Amino acid sequence: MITFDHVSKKYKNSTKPALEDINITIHEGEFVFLVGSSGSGKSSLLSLLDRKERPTTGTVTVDGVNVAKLRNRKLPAYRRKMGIVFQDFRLLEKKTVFENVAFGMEVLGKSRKEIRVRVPEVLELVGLEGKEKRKIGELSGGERQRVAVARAYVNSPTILIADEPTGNLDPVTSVGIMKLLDRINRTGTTIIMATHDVAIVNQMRKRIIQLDGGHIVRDQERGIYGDAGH
Amino acid sequence: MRLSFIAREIGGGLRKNLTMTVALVVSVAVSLALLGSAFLLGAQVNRMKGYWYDKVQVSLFMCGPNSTAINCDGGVTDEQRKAIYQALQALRPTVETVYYESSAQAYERFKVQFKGSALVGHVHPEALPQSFRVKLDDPTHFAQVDAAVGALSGVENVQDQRQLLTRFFEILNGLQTFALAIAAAMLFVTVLLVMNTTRMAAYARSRETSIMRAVGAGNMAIRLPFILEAATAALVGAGVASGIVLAIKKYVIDTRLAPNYTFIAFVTWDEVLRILPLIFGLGLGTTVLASTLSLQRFLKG
Repeated sequence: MITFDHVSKKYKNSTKPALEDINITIHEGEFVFLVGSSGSGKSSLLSLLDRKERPTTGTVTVDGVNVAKLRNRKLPAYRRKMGIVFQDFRLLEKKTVFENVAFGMEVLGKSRKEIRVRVPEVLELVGLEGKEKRKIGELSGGERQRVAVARAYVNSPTILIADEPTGNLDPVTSVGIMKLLDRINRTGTTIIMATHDVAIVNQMRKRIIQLDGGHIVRDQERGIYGDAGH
Repeated sequence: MRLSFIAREIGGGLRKNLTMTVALVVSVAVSLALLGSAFLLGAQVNRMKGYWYDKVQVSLFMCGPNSTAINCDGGVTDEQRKAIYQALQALRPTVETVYYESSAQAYERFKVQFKGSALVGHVHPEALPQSFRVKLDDPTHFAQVDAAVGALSGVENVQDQRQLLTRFFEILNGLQTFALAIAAAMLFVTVLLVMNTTRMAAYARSRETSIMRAVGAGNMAIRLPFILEAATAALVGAGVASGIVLAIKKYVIDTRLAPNYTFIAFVTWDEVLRILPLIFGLGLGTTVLASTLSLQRFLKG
């Protein structure tokens, strides 16, 4: 379970807080859209979650752990609970699809045997079977994002954070990625996705948390984007 | 992390950054070779000191037929020599042993020392003075001996050979200090180079490190490849430096110097081999420290 309890975040060199008095509870296995325009505080909220930043006031708790109080040496173990998908994919261009996904396991010291079993499994899940040996440079945007999702998911995180995962993709490809995230969500993984893609949000009918100027202006189950206030 | 993975990362990192890697290896090799040479010189000075201080301490030269010193009036007489000998004996225990060397013996020694030199043909036995070779309990007690026998008639000159040697050793020590200073400066340059190389490598692979951090790799796992890259370059450099030091021993000392200067005791292989761990230790230590420090700032949180 993830809770934000009266969380505010103010960056050193800005006068306006990036987040102000945020209260959220996200249960295990939920699928949550984090929506709002640029600068509304989505990224700040996500960076509190993976402890890139700490809240100025209030507490962020993940599975009973106060994230801000985590010791630095416990941070890696904490981050292993999460998979992160970036808008810019953040893949290693010179490595193959297989190597990119395996990289996520290798840096955690997983054995070659585990990697040989797990990576093809995940590649099949994301629909990239048969493309293991392709270089990233040869892939389309949608395929790249699938590799990124595979890497984020390969260590079976309990929470998957996706920051504008469809931001660089066309609508049709985006739908494919959303289906993939939905499939992962059905395995019990909590998914928190920041986006401002109206079409996708409306199509999925999941919980929506809308931010505006650092405040939550809406928190709605099975919501539709753009109908705030109704 | 698995070893094969780390090895691949290191190999890739070093190749990607080839020119810097080469610069690093050369810089490490040069600074450590200089350092090794300085240590070698130091060992050589110590060895010579031990050898010479033990051998000769005070030479008391007696007047020859042509001496012009104040205490001389023609060659030293038998009585004068006896008186000098007794005066020396009276100085026990400061004086440990007294050994008489005649002109003929001096000539024999001279012939051996300057073997192959044209000098030998021009020097006659009579030209070399008779002398007492005096060994002291402590080489610094020379003044006492000089005061007691320096003014006796028949004594041309009392020579503290240690002082001659000291001047020689001072020159060698100066050389060593000079070599050490250059080595220190080079090592400093190497440290800066390591810091820069590491920072560049970390920057070039910031995507990798950001992924590593995102999937929850430990700090050590993220840093180790960079540190080991620097350490690998240092290891190669230290290897080259050790090769240079060993080559100096084999090709300069053993092949060139030792056969020509048989009266000098040169550093032994034992002493040379003792320098090698210092080279490796210092090379690895400084590089690992330098790269760790530069990562501290670059790869935070």
